[in-house]
Amino acid sequence: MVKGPRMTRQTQAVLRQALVEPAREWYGLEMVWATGLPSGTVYPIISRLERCGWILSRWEDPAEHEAEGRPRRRYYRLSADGAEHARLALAKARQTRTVPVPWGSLRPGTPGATQ
Amino acid sequence: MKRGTRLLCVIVLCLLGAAILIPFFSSLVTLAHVVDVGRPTPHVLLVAASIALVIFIVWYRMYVSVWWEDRRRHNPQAHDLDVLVHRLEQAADNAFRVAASAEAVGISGRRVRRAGRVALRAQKAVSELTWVRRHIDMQPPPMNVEDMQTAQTARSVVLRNGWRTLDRTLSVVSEANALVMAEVRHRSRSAAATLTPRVSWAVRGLIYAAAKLLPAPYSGRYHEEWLSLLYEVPRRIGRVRQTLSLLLGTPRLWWTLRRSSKGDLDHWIT
Repeated sequence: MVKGPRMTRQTQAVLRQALVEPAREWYGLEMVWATGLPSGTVYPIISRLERCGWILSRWEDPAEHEAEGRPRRRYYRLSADGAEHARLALAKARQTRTVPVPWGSLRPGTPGATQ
Repeated sequence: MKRGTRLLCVIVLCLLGAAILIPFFSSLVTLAHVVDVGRPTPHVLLVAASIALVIFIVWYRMYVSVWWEDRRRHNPQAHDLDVLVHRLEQAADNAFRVAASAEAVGISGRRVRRAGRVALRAQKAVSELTWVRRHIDMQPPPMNVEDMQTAQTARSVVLRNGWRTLDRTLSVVSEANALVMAEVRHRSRSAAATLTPRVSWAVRGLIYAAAKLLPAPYSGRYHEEWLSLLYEVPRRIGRVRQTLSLLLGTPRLWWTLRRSSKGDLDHWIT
């Protein structure tokens, strides 16, 4: 089993967007527009998720893109396991989000004294 | 106004003034001559004719202005009717034009059908109003207050209906027009997307170079995928931005792909 991807904010944004409709297929540019992230950030994330098996991909059928007169797209979708893993990972990331430390607690105490 | 033109105007005005004043004084002299001699000279006849002409013009102007005033007093809605008829005609024309262009484009929606119906209704209102307008022109002024009030009420009803029809026509026309324009814009965009090669050779070269930096098994896949991505980005500046972003992201992607296991490779490439 490949280890899960690093849950950066950008990865979370991609997963959150993919989980809006887990069964739906999307292509790279669609994700770029939906998340507002640059394509140079989105593609490495997609490839990482694909490597982990969270995302499946396929080329578009020739009938679809030839009818519209454009090059074929690469479609992605969450796998069944991937959707579950993504949900858990997002929930975990939400829990472990660092709480800001209040300024008062940063004051150094006297060495040896209990606070 | 230029200085020369102004001078010319002053000279012309002076000449006109002289042309009016000289005969006037000369006629006074001539009248004195007639009184002395006892018979009219041709010069006197000419002056008398011009005075008669001036009197006629003044009388006619007074008569016409009085007539217009009188007409306006008895038909206060005539001007409104004229304006309304004009605007309704324009609205009906627009509605017909929009319906025709919708038919040409091939839209058969509810709003377009409504535009066609409304155009017919507007045309009907125009004919109604034109009839009322002619009636106003031909009708003699009312003789008593009751007649006047009845006529005014009837015209008010027609006017109110006309304005309502105009409002409805304008709103429906604008809706249908927006629909048609959106469809036309969409089609022209699709046609442009189909017909024009939009990704320039420079961008293609950069994408090719970026894809070549990736591990060899993935190079072809990402090259094709990125080209298709750029093909769908609408503006040139957007394509350039995406290309730069892809170039900047290539090292990270290379790192990810390099670490991928050999077993997954078949699934990835196909």
